[in-house]
Amino acid sequence: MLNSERRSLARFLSIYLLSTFLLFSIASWIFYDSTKHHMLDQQKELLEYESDRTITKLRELHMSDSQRLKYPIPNNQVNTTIYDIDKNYIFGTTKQKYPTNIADSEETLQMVSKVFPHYLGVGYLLLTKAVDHTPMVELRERILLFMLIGGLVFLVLGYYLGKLFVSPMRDAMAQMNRFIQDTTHEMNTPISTILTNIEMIETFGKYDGNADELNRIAIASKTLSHIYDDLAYLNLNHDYHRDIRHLNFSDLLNERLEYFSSMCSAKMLRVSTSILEDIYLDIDQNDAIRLIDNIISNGIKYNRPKGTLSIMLSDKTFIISDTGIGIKSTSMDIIMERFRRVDSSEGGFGIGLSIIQQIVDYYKYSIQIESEFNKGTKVTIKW
Amino acid sequence: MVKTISLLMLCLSWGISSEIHYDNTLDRQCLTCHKNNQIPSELIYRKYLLKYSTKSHISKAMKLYLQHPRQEKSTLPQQFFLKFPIKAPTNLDDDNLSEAIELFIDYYDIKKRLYL
Repeated sequence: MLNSERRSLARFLSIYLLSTFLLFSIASWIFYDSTKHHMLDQQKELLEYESDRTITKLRELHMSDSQRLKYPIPNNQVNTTIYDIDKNYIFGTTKQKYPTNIADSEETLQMVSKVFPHYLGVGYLLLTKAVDHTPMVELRERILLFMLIGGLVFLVLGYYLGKLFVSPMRDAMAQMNRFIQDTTHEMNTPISTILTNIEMIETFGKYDGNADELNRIAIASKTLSHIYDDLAYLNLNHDYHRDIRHLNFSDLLNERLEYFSSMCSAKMLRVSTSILEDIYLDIDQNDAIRLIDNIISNGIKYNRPKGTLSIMLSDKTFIISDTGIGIKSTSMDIIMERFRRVDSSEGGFGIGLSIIQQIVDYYKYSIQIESEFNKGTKVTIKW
Repeated sequence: MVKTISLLMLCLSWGISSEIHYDNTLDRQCLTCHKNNQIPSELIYRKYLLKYSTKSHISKAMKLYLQHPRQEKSTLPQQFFLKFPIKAPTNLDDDNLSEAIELFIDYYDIKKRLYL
């Protein structure tokens, strides 16, 4: 894993986990708070129950003619104290004064019931109970455990999600690395050829119009130029303004064949042409050149030495077939992808067919590639 | 030693005399007649307690009733007066009446009977 990839993954994970933790914490707090109130309400219900029970007992005591009156002791750890209507202490399980604040606290639940008629002279019945924190502690522990397990699950999930998100970046970087390697390699061959042949001319000091050295320099220069044109086209494609004209495609095709003639000669190819004259297309000239150049270039590049390159242009079709290495049927689906090369024995970026596809799509032509491995390839473009 | 015994005797005699005073006053002013006529004193106290709750409020209400006894001013039910007719207004002066009521309430005070 690259450092940048690791950093991105760590950042993603930290943001993801932090936001998940925050969300979980808020949700857990809301849940805890509402459940805690519910639990406190349940405990407070006990006070109400004890209040009713005590008042009933007070009534019984009030009616009793016994000399000794046993004060009712409440259950459930509740304390009760009775006060007269002026809030003076009468009796109780505690000897506390009438409280000024009846509100519950964190530690104590309180409730005051008014008593009327005033059995035993009681005006107010105060009930107090220490809050039982056990269920709240258990709830907190359960929430913490849930958050811990949830956190672990989300950590694992986040890790896989992160890797999933980072993978396109990794692919792009790998593609970029491959592209740079290809570029340096592609540039290196023609540049070396040019330099070597210039050196030879300088060494031997001779010049002949048909000199092989000059021919090789010309081919290398054209290869460089072709690479440059393809890359520029690909790069400028998004904001490229097309100048669509009624173009004589036949003339342009002949012109480009002349341009590639030196490469065909170098590979000793037999070029067979059947070009119908004055075939016009409404197309941008640069697009047409890129279309023709890439198809012819592929036909030359992937052809065998002394092979045949057939070019046919008719009213509605443009067909180029070669006797080259062909394409495996399993690779047919991916050959149009940018930077995809099914055979790396020859140079190139794998952008030729991608450019052809773009042009065909733009002008709503159709393209058909038929190939037989080790026998040759036939490209048909129809409009 | 003699001094201590004398002081003890003095306190004891004062305590006994105050108890006698307590009993005498309450008996003379209230309970003798109540007992003779079988008037349920404790029931009366409990009825007042049920309605007025505090000693001061009970005392005030009793005093008002004893000075101007009228059935509608009483806390007791109407049936009570079928058996026990309304008595005449008290001839006790204000202080003696207050003292008698005070003693009456203390005598039946419920707080003294409660235990845990």
